[in-house]
Amino acid sequence: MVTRNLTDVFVLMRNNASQNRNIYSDQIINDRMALVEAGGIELAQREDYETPQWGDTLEEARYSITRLREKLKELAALQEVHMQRPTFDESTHQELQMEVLTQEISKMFSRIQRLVQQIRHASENDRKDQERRLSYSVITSLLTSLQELTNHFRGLQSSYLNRLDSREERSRLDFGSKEEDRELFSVNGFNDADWETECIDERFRVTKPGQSISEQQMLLIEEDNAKTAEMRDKQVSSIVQSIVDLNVLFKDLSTMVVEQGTVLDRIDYTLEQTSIGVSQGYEQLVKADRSHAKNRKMMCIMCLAPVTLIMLFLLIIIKF
Amino acid sequence: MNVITAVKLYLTKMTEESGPGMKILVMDKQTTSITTMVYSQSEMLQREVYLFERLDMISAREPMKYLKCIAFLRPTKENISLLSKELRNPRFGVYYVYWSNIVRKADIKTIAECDEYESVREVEEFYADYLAIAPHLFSLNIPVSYQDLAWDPVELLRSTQGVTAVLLSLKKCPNIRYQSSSEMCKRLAEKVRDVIVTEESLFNFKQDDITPVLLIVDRRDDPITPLLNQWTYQAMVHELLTITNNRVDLSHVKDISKDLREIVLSPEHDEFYAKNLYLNYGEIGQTMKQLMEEFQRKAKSQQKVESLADMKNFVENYPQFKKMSGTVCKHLVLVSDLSNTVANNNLLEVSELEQQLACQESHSSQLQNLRTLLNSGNVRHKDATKLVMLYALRYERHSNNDIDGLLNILKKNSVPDSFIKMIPRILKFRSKNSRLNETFDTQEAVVKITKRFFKDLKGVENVYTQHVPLLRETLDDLIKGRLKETTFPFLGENSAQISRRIKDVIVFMIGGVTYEEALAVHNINCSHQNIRIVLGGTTIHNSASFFTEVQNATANLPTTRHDNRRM
Repeated sequence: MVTRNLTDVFVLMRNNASQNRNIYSDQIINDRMALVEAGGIELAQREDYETPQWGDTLEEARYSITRLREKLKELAALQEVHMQRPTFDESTHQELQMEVLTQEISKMFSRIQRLVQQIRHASENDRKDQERRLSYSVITSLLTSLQELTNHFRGLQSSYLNRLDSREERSRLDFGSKEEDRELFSVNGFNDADWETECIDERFRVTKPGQSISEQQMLLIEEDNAKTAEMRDKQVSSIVQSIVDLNVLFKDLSTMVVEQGTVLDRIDYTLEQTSIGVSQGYEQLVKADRSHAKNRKMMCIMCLAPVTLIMLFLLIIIKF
Repeated sequence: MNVITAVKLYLTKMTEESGPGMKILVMDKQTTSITTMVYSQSEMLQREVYLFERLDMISAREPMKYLKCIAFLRPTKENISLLSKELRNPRFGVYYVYWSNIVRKADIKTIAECDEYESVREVEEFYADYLAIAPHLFSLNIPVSYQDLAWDPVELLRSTQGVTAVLLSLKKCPNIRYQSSSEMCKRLAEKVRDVIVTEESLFNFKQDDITPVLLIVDRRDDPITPLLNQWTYQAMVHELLTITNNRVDLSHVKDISKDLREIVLSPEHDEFYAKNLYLNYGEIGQTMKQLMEEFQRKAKSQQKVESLADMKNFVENYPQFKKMSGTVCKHLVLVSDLSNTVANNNLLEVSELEQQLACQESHSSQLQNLRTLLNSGNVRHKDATKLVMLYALRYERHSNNDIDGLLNILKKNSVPDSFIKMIPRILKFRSKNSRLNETFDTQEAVVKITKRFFKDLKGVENVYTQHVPLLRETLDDLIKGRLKETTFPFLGENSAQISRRIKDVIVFMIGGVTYEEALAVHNINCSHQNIRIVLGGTTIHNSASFFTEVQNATANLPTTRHDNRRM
């Protein structure tokens, strides 16, 4: 990929040209006029430079989107680490972190959506045709990235849930095969303290009460178990909640995908459409102009005025 | 050696160099097509380019100073003056100007003088001056490049620019080989070399040990390929429905929904199409069926939404599902329309005879078949004409050919005059020392006969796709180092020093390429691991556009029958 930068040459030529211009212009215009004129231009330009009202909102939205992307990456990393751990022991901290992150992400989603709505409202009173098109494109692009991110997020969450499920399934299967060993152990009064917490309830069923574990121990384990379950429940419900939240968004976005890959998503098609719009507008203008030139009222007056005059004339002749 | 990525990189760089902020992309007619081929609108929106405009039809003159303007233009006179006008009264805050080719210093000066507000921030040359259709295929969108069988000067300039742009964007400084029988090839080769010599600094980059080859060939050497009916998906769609810049117009189909009136076939954005564009008609039917089955399965799973889990799944898959349904609809309509056309116009029979005419040698039986088919009356006028054209090309010098008789049959079938005139025209169009005629050269003849003998031994795999374009043979010879220097000389250089090893080849065909040839090149690229070929042409032909090309090329030449007899 070869490129050639001609900016330096261009700037040099531009400076030369402007110097030449200044030499001549000094002779023609006096200072006062030049100053006044320059002031006028400045004023006019400042007005044009003003971004539309929703300019800041757009900035904010784009910024949030980049932030959101980072957060999603973080979440994915956390989930990965979490899944890699052999058990759920001592992972409360992580879970908490994940929960916070998930909530944050959903909040950001709704926030961006609100921003998009704001842009939409603000752009409603754009007078210029071009500006209207601009705001439309801006909204489209924001929604597209938003959609991409929601899909990503939803994918992350559901794959995480799936993996959790399958993991539990697997551990249950593992237990099935280990059952005999375990019975052997418990019969021997041997209790392996290192067993995974997930197996606790399973173990419960298997070990005959009072054989090797004391009442107190059992209570402790039970409590622990309940805690895990509660936590898991919370976790799952938070994820489900986030999915539900996103569904509202989803409705807004569903139409966007369909456009991609069709003729509507082509640059040349868009340009053709605008040019068609412009030429149609021109035709309408011509039509309006023509009808204006015809001006029926004027014609009527022009016809009736001589008629009235003639009648008046006749009346005068007949009467006198 | 991927032209799509090359153009894409240029455009990506353009959007990046102007930094963050809202942007507008201003283009001319040709750069619009160039951009459209590689970037979709939504992809551009993601790069903060929110508005698009054509420089030559500015819609509104409202100033929007908060926008950054990226101007991607070809360095033509018209564009220079339009841009100067724009800069005298700038509507946008900052301008980044990118020329798609080498621009003259005088033109830069003109623009610099008009830039009184100093709104131009950057002026650069980005050599994306061609339409990238596939990774190995580019076109310049010149519908007609011949003028009385010689270069149209405007198109010669455009072709030179196009070819040099390809070389620069791929970073290749090649040895040039051209077809010696064609004056046009020689002129283009010289022009390209002139550019390389005068713009030495541009072509001064590090290259592989093996110098790439630029091979310039002429369509007139092989007028047969564009006349044949095609049976691979992409080529078929182009032949029967015409693809223009990846768009296909389907408005003629009855009861078609509004969304499908015009469809986009872009391998970049349509996975199914990308996978299947080189498959033949029969295989397409099968993959279509698979696609349908997959779709049905998905549709079924979409229907049952009973539990919460189902709902969740539905929501997750819905966008993909909708996208897939769009793809399925599009290709179904397309394939069904193709199959209708094939069935209604007897195309299978026509194509079989076409292939026989193009590949086999048995004059009397072919003439017999041709007569019966033409007399049967259920052949389109265009196909009838094409068949007679093929016959004429093939047996023009045969002692007892019957071109006159066939012309009479065409007349009897009320084939329009403009079509009948095509037959003498194509004979004129075919270059006189075309290699298709070279049966008298003894050495060549021996090679050819042995080749044919082996081919006959192997038998024909598919009756409808037995024709191999001449380009394939040329390229095979080139790869094996057997391409003769009498037919394809090197330009200017002492050929003795040039190494015979071949790695990167850029082929440019004056007078347009066909999708059949694109497929042949694709196959070569796939079968040879360390050889990369990029094919390009002034345009991509189907038989209809080729008719126009031939018509224009021979418009001012005398077309009396006796004249072409003597030829």
